Amino acid sequence: MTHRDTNSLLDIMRREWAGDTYGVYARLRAGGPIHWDPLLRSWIVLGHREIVDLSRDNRLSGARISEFYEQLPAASKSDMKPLAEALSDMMLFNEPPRHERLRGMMKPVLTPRFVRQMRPAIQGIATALLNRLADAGEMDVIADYARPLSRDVIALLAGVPADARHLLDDWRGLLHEFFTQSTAEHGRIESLRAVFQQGLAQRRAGADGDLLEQLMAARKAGAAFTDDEIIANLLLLIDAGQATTTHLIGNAVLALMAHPDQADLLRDQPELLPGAVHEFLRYDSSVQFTTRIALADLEYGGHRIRRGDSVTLVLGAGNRDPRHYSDPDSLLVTRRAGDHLSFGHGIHYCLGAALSLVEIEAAIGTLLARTRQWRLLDENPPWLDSINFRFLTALPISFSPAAGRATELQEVTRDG
Amino acid sequence: MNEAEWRLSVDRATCIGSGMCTSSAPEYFALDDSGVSRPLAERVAPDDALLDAANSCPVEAIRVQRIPDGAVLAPAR
Repeated sequence: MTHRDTNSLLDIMRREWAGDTYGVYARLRAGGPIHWDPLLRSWIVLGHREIVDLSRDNRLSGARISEFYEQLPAASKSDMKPLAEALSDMMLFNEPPRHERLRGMMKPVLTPRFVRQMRPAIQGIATALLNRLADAGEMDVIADYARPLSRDVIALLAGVPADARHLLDDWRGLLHEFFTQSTAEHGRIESLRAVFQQGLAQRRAGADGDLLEQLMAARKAGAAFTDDEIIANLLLLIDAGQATTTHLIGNAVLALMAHPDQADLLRDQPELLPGAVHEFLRYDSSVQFTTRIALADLEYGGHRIRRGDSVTLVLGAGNRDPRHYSDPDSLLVTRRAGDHLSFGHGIHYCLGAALSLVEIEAAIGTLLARTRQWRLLDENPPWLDSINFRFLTALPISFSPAAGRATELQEVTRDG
Repeated sequence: MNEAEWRLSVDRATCIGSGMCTSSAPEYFALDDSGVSRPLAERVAPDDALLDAANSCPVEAIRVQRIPDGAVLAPAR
């Protein structure tokens, strides 16, 4: 094994470190909780405290779509226009005041209260999937369970009818498509745009309906959102909410398989599940970092960050910061881990956090109740080639059905 | 006595500084220098914007209570 003198976040892509994201972070910590990564050409921030501070600093901006787009040559600009337009209307890539306006549109469907109302529907999706899977004795946790579950929840929320749900399959991250200047997803975006436009037209005509109706209600209440803005943020809901949740569920299952005592504890005390979900998020987030651009020179932690510098907040490293969590590399479902960083922090805190918590709770609670004796069918399940996304591309397991206590645990889960 | 008064509080340990309250009810909340929300006044006249703020908080760190009996008006369970 050979190593350069300089450590970099990009080491995660090196074969000898493949899958060992947290081993790379442990090595990087030797360079301090914040330091310049010359290969990545970005500041990297590894400490919990430092990530919290810098996430709240309004001199660091999440708006980076238009800067990238503006520097493209003219031909690429016209190729990338559909993606650039959709992304630049997403709240995530905007700063106040427009960020607040766009966020206001999606807010009503993502509040903790609204999501609690969706809980029976989400539980129903998990139960239906396991009714089909539980007797088989084997499943791919990703393809057979987590992925259809998160897809159907998003479809429900965004008002995607059953005959169009295939448009949500094999989704490729739009930001990655944009930065790699790919046009591969344009057709899908256009098809979804047509689905959403039809949905908006139906609701405008007064057809009583589902959750998309909430967006129309917000508009009626005086918020002047354009169709483009609504559609962009429905795309964001899919883009930010679907694969991330699928792989949070996958990573939680993998974590429980590495800590079977913790899985047994949750089977015995299902009331621990809501807290355990935060620990799953802390232990192995599906998104490992988020990037900001410095809008002004700033001093932080003895470093001088210059205007225009990229700052990479490594949420997954903050989640294992030994200065903040004792025994950070162990999954402890009784740990108070509600201050994990996997949803970000500050004004770009994940608007879908409450939804994702309920999905993970339903998914893991139901799986624990209906199955036991989980065994990996592939000792080294494959990870996506990415420094940011901790996505298992498959998680095949065998298990025994455990029908006996299913109902009891699900009831507790629902009330929890 | 004004029995219609409400009491506002923010659990500052729970607040993650999303700014949801300062955008939905800017006359009642502000983010301080450390990016954590605080109520601008503890006792206020009833206003639906406060219920919206408390119900929209992603970590439910805001509490709106009726003054005479302490009943929690928001967040709604």
